[in-house]
Amino acid sequence: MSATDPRSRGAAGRAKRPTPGRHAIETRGVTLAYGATMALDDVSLRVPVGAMAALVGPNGAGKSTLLKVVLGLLPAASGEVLLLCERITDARSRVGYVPQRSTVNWDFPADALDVVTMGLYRRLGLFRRPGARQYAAARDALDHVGMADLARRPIGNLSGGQQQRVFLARALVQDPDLYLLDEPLAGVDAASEAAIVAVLTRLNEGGKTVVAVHHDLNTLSRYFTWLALLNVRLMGQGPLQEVAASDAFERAYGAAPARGRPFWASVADDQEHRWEGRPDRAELPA
Amino acid sequence: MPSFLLDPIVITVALGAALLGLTAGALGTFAVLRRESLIGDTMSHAALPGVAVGFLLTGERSLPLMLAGAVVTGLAAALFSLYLSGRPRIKRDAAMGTSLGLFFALGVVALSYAQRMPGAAAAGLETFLFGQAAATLRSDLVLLGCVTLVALGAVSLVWKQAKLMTFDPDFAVAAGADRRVIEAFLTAALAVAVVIGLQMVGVVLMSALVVAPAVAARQWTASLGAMFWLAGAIGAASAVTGALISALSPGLATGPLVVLVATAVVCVALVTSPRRLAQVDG
Repeated sequence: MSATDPRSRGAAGRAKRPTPGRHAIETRGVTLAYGATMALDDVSLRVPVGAMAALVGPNGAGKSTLLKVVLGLLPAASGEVLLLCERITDARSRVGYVPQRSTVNWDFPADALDVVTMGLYRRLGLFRRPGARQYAAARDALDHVGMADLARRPIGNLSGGQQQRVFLARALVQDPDLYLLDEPLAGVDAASEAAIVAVLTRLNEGGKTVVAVHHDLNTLSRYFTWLALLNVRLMGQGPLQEVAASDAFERAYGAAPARGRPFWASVADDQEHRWEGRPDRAELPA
Repeated sequence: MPSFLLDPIVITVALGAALLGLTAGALGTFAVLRRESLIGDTMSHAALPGVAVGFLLTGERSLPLMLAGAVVTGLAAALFSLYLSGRPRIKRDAAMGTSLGLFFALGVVALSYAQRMPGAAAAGLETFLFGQAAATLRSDLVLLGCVTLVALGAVSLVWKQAKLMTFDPDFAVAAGADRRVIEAFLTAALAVAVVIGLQMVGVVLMSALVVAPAVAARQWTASLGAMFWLAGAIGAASAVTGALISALSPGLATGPLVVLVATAVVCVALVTSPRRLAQVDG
C-alpha cells in the first residue's frame, strides 16, 4: 500500500490497528499535587504503539502536566512512567517533544533554521557544533512543514502558526518514534493547522505514534483515532468511537445539559466522515 | 596620537577596562535573555560584604581574595533570594529586593569597619562602591585576562546547551539536558561577569555594564552568536571610554562614566535598530 495512493487513504486503508500489547506510553498510578490542589490523581494511561491519539479534557484538567510527567519534566509524587517500554532516560532519543508555543520567549535571537537545528543538539553531543549536514537536515524538515522559504526569518517575525510549524520541524529532524505535542493547534491559522495535521497524519501512517493535547472537540474525530479523556483523573481511554459512545465525556466535562444535545455529542457522529474533511498533502503550502 | 595614550598607567587602565567590558558585556547576553538582569544587580550589590571580608582576612589589598569573597557573597545573595521566592506569598522581585538590601547593608557595615584598619586606604576599599579605574594595577591585568579567557572559553564549549536552555528549557530537559547543571553554570557565568568589574565600575553600577551592552546588541542583530560578540564589543568600548575619561580627570569615579557611555549606546541602538525599521515596513 502506497501512502501516496489516494484510494489507500480511506478508513479501510487506515484501519491498521495499533499494535496490541505494546505501549508507546504507559503510566501506572501517576499522582501529582500542586500544594493542596490535586493535578493528577492515579492516572494509568496506556497509549498503544502506532496510535493517533488525542489527550482531551477541560481547562485545568492536567493535560500539559501529564505530558510533562511523562517526559520527566515534572516529578510525579507517585506512580511509574514507561515510554516505548523503557524508562524515559533510556527512551529520550526516540521521543520528540513539541512544547506549547507560549512557553518560550519568541524574542530570542534566532531564525527558524536555528531553532530546527536545536533538535539535533542531543545527537551532536556536548561539544560538536552543527555543520552543513545538520543544517541540510533542518532545511529538509522545514520543507516538510511548508516553511522552506522562511528558514532565515527571525522567529519573532513569524506568525503563531508558523512558529508552531517550526517547533514541529524541530521534532521531525530528530526522527523519533513517538511524538508528544502540547496543544499543537492552539491559536494557529487555518493554513498552519492544515500543514500540521497533514504532517502528523503522514507520520502516523508511517508507523509513528502521535499523542497530542487537543482542545477543539469539533475537529477531534477528524484528526484523531484514539482518545484519552482527562480531568485530574483519567475518565476514559481507547479507540475514539468507543470512548465517545461511553459516558466518559460526561464524567470529564460534567453532567449533560437537561435539554438538547451536549456539546460533545457530535464527536461520535463525525467519526463516520472523518476522511472527508481531512487536509490532504495537496493542500500543503508550497 | 596624544602623548597620554602612551602613558603606562593609561595603557594598563585601558587594557583592564577592555577585558572586563568584553567579559561583562558578552556574558550579559545570557543574563538579559534569561531575564535575570535583577539577579545581576542583586549579586553586584551583595559582592560588597565579600570584598570587605576578603580584605579583612589578610589586612591588605589582595584582589584575588577580595573578588573570591565577592563571588561567594554574591552567589549567597542569589541563593537567599531564590529561597525567599520559594516561600508562600513572596514574589521574585520582592525576594531580590530584600536580598539586595540585606547584603548591601551588611557590606556597608563591613566596609566601615574595615576602613578603620591600617592599610585600608591603601587598599582603595572605598573605590569598590563606584569604581576607580586608576586603581587598576598592572598585576591585576593577568587576573582579568585569565578570568576573561576561562569565562568566554567555558561558555563557547557548552554553547549549544546554554543556547537551548535559554530558549526552551522544557525541550532541553526532554532532550536529556541537565537543567540544574546548565543553570548553575549560567548563574556562575553571570557572577563572574558581575564580579570582574567591581573594582573599576563599582558594586552599585556594575550590573548596568552587564545588561546595557546586551540590550543594545539585541537591537542590531537576530543571531545569538552575533549578539554575544557585539555585546562584548560594546561593553569593551564603553568601559575603555569611561575608564579613560575617569583616569584623566582625578576624582571622577569610573562607574558612572562607563554606565553613561553604555546607556548612550543603548539609546543609539534603539533609534537605529533595523528591527524597528523592518517592523515599520510590515
